Amino acid sequence: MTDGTLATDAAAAKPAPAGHSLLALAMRRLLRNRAAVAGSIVLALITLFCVAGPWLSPHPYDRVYRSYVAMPPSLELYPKESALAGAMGEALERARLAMADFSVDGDSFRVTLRSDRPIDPRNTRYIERLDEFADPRVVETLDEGRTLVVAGRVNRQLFLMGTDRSGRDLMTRIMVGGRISLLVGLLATFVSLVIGVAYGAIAGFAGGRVDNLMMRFVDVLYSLPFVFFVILLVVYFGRDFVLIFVAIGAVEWLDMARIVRGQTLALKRREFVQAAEALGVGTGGILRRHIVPNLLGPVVVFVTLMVPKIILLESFLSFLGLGVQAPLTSWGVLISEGAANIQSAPYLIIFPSIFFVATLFALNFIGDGLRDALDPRDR
Amino acid sequence: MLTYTLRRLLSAAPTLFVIVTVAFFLVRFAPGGPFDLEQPLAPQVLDNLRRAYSLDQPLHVQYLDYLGKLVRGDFGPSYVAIDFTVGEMLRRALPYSVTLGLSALALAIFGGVAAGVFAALRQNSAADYSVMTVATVGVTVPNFVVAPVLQLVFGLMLGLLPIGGWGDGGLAHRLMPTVALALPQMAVIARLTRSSMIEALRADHIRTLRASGLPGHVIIRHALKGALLPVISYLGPAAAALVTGSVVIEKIFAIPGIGAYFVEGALNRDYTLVMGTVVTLAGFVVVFNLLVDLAYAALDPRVRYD
Amino acid sequence: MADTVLSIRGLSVRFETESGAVEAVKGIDLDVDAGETVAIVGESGSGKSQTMMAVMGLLARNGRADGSVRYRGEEILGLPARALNRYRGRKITMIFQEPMTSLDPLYRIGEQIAEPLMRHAGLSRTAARRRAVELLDLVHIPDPERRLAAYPHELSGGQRQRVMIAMALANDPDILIADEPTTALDVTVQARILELLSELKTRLGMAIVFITHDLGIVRRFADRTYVMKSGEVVESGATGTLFERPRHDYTRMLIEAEPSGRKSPPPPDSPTVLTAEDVRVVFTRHEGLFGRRRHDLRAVDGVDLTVRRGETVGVVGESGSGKSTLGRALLRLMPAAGLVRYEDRALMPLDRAAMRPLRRHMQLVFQDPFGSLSPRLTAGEIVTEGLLVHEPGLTRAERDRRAASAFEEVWLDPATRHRFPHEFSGGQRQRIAIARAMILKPALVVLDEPTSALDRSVQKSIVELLRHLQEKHGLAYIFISHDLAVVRALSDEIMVMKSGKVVERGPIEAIFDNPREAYTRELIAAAFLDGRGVHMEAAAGPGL
Repeated sequence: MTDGTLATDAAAAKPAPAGHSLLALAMRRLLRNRAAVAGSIVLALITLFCVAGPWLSPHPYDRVYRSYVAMPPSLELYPKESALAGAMGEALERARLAMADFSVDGDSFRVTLRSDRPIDPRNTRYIERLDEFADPRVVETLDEGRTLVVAGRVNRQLFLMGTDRSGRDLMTRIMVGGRISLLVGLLATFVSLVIGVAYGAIAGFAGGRVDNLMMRFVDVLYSLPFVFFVILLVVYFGRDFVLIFVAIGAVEWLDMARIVRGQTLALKRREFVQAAEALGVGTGGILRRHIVPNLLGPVVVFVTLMVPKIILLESFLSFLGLGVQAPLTSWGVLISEGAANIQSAPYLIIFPSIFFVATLFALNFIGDGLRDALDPRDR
Repeated sequence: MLTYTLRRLLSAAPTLFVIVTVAFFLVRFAPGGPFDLEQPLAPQVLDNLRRAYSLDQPLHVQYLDYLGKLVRGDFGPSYVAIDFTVGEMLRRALPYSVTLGLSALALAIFGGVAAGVFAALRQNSAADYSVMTVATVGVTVPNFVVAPVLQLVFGLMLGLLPIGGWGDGGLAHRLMPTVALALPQMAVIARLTRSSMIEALRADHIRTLRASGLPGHVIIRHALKGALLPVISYLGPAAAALVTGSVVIEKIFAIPGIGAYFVEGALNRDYTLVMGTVVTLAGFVVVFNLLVDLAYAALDPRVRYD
Repeated sequence: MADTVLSIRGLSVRFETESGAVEAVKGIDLDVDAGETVAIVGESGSGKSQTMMAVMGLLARNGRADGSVRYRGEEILGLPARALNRYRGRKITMIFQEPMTSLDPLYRIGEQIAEPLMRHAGLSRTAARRRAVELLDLVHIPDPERRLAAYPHELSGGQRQRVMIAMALANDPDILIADEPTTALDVTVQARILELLSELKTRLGMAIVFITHDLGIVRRFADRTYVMKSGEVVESGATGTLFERPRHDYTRMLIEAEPSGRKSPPPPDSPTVLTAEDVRVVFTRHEGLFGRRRHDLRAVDGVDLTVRRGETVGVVGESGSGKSTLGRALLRLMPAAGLVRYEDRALMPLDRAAMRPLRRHMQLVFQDPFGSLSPRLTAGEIVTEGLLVHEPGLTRAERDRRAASAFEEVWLDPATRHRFPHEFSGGQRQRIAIARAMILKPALVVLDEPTSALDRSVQKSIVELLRHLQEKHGLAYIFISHDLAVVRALSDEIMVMKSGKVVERGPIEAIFDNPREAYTRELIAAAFLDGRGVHMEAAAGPGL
C-alpha cells in the first residue's frame, strides 16, 4: 500500500506514451478541424497567388491598355478577330492614311497603306501604339513610297478576369492589391502585437497601482471612436503607406494589451509561478519559462483573428478613398472601384470581393480552429 | 448602485475631455488649413480671414476659447460652408444619423440575440450550423460590399427599393441602409449570444433548475439573463462600430448624415466641422457606454459592490 | 419489507468523447427504501455521481444511460424532460457539491425558492413567499424574511447550501439526493449541514441518497452503503456490517486508507531551523467613491512559531484563517512584518536577490497538484527547475540523472519523467511537486494542504511518503491543513488559527485529548464526528 499504484485515476490506469506536450495535442486537434485545415490551404494558395502572381503575369499591374477598357472576363484571347480590321482602320485614320488591304493569318497580319504623298515609314508607330498589334515593319515599298505593305504580329492577350475602367488587367491588380492588403494586415498586426504585448505584460506583471493606471488609460482610449482619428491622421498627414499601418496598429493594440494583461495576471496567480518563485527563480526566468510560453497560445489565436480585422479596416479606409494611392492598389480600393461600377461592370466588384472574402474566411476559420485546439474546454 | 452610477458618470467626463483635446490638437497640428485653396488668397485677405476666425490667436487661447464655447453648446462657425454654424449643420444632419443608427442598433441586438439563442438551443444541429454560417459571412463580409450588392439586387434588378437618398424617411428608403449597417454587428452579437448561451445552459445553477423540475421556458429565461451579460458589455464596441460604419453607409446610400459631414469636413480641412462631428459622435459613444455600464450593473447584482 | 421508492436495475452510463466512448457506470443495481439513508461511496471517477445524474436526467449532452430506473414502480429513465418533471423537483430532488455556483447569481434567494413552489404546487406569489420563509426557517437561516431579498453572493457557502436544501425540500420529496453536499465547505460548517440533514430526515421522513467519498459521513449517517469502483458496485450492505466485516479488498482498502499512525518525535536536542516572532500580514483595500476609505484586513496577526530539525508543526484552521498566508509570509513570498530567522540569519531585511540563495533550504508544496505544475514543461524539467538556479554548473545529463533519482525518492517510475503533467494522476502530480522541493535538499518544507485535493487512498500514500522523507532527511515541516485527521498523523505540535491569530497551540496529544478553546473543540468534533477514533481502533489491525 505504499507504492504509487494506489492512484485509481483513469490517467494512471492506461499509461500514455512519453511526451505528448500540450502543443502536440493542440496540433492534432487542429488538424482534425476541417474548416481550419481548409482555411490554411486557401490562405496559402491566395498568398502564393498574390506574391508570385505578378512575376508570372504577362501584364504589369499599372499597364493601361487603351484598347481594352472595361473588358469583361473571358477565356478567349484579345483582340477578337472581328475587331482587328476596325482597330487598324482607326489607327490609320489617325495617321491620315488609307487602308487598301488588311489580312490576318494566324498570329501575323499584313496591311497595305496608301496615300497621295510618299508615306513616312515612321508612321508604323501609329500601329505599334495600339495594344492589338506588335512589331510592325515595312516589308514592301511601292508606288514611290505612296503604298506601303506593313507586316507584323497580332498581340494576343488574355484577361482572365477582365480589365478595369482604365484598361488595366484586373487579375494582376488583384494580386498586387492582395500583396498590399496582406502586408498591411501583417505589419499592422505586428505593430499592435509589439505595443500590446509589451504594454499588457508590463501592466499585468507590475500589478497594483501601475496596472490600475495603465488600464484606466486603455479604458479611456477604448471609448474613443478611434477610427475617426485614423481618418484624421490619414487625411491630414497624407496617404502614406507606412502611416496607414502604423495608425491601424496603434488603434488595434488596445485589445491585445487587455488580453495579454488579463492572461499575465491570471498566470501570475497560478501556483506554478509561485512555485518557481519559491525555488528562487528570478523575474527573467519566470517570464521566460512560465509566463511567455503560456501567453503564446492566446496571443497566437488573437493574432490570427486580428489580421482579418485589420485587412477590413484598411479596406474601409481605401473605400473612403483614404487608402493607398494609385497606381498602387489594395483589395479595398478595388472593391470601392467595383462598387462605383456595379451596374455596368459587376465583375469589377465580384472578383476582388471573392479573394477578399475568401481570405477573411480562411483567417477566421484558422483563428477559430486554433482557439478550439488550444482551449478544448468547449468541446 | 448610486455610488456606482456616480463613479461611472465621473469617469465619462474626463473621457470626453480627452477626446475634445486630442481632436483639437490633431486637427491644428496637421499641415494645411481651411483657406489653402487652389488659387492662393491674397495675404491681406488671408489675414482678415484668420482674424475673423481667431486663427491668429495663440493655440492655447484658441483651445480655451473653443472649450468655453463648447460647454455652452456652441460649436462655432463652419470655415468652409460660409454663413452656416456647425451647430446648424449638425442639427440638420443629426436626425438622419440618429434614426439610421438607432434602428440599426435595435435590429442588430434583436436579430443577433434571437439568432444566437435559436442556434444555442439547437447546438450542433443543421439549423445551428446554417445560422452560424450566415453569421460568419456577416462578420467577414464588410458592409461596403454588402451595401452595393443589396443596391444591385433589390434596387436595380428587382426594383423593389430605392437605391439611395432619404426621401420622406419612410421604411422603403431606410430599409437597405439599416440592414447593411446592422448586419456585421448582428452577426457578431449572434455568435456571442450563441456561445454565452451554450455556456450558460451548462452552468451549475441551470442544473439546479433542471433538478427542480422546472419547465424548459423557465430554464431558458434564467440562462438567457446570464447569457445576455457578455452581449451587453459588447454593446459599447458595437455602438462605436455602428458609428464608424455609418460613415460608409451614408456615403453609399447618399444620406446627408453626420458621417457624410465628417468626411467632407476632413477633406476640406474645415476645423470646426470636423471637431463638431467628432465631438458629437464621440459624445454619443461615451454616453452610450455609460448607459451600457449602468444596464449591466442593474442586471448583475455582483457588479454594484465592486 | 419496507416499500422501495427507487429501484435501479442494470444502469449503465456511457459518454462519447474525443477519444472514443467511456463507460462511466457499468450496469449497476441499487435500491432505496422509503425513509432510509443510502450512501454511495467511491473515489473520484468511480461513477457514483453519474449514477444519480442519470436518475435525474441530468447527464451531459454526450452522455447516454441504459437500463431501468423505477420510482415506486414507474419507469423514469429516458423520459422526455416534460414527463420527467412530474418527478424531478417534486418526488426526487437533488443538491450538489458546489454551493458557490449552484444558485443563479442574478436572482434573489426568495425568487429562486419560490419558483419551483409556484410551478409545482401551484402556489400564488404571496403563498410561495410565505412558504419560502418557512423553508428558510426550517434550514435555520436567521432572519428569513430579510434573507429572501439577498443575492447568492451575499451569503456564505454554508448558507448557500442551506438555501439549496430549502429549495430541494420545497415540495416534500420522497427522495433527496445529496451529491457531496459538504465537500466544498469548512469542517465546522460541514458538521452543521450534516446535522441539519439528519434533523430534517427525522422530521420529514424522506429517503436520502448520500454520494460521498468521506467514510466518516457514511459511517455516521447511512443505513445502507454501496461501494463503487470504476463504474461498478463492488460491495453493498448494512453500513455497520460493511465497516466491521468488509468483504471486498477495495472496501477494506478504503477503510484502511484513513490516515493513521503517528510520527515519532524528533530528538530533544535537535537544532532549531526556523523561528518567527510577531509575524503580521495586512491587506489594505480602498473603497468608496474616491477610494478614500481604507479597509485593513489583518490576514496574519502577530504569530510566533519555532520549528526544529525533524519536527512537524501543524497549522490548523478553516478557510480565511490566515494559515496559507502565514506559510507564504514565512518564506518571504509575501510582504510581511515581524521577525523571521532561518538558522541564524534574519530573513526580513533581505531583498529578493539576497533571498534567492536561501530559497533552496526552504521549500513549498502546494495544495493543487493541477495548478502547481507548469503545463508546458515535462515532469523532469519541472523537478529540476530549482537546479538551474542553485546549481547552474550541472550539465543536462547530470540534471536528468538527478531528476531520475528524485523520481525514485518519491516512489515514481523514473521512466515517466519525460511526460507532461496532464498525463499524470492527481497523486502522481503531488509526488512530482514534492520531488521538485526535495531535489534541492531543503531543511524546511512548508506543506500547504498537500493532501486536500486528493482521494483518501492517495492521501494516505502521500502522508506516508512525507513521513518517510522526513525521517530519512531530518526535514522540518510546517504542515498547513484543515484536515485534523491528516494533521494528527503527521505533526508533533499543533497551532490552531482563527482570523489571523493563534488561538491555541501545544503538543499534538494535549490538543486532541484536552482542547481548551471552544473553537478547537468544534474543529475536532467536526473532523471526528464519525467517531473515526472508534473505528480507527477497529481497523488498526493488520498492516499498520
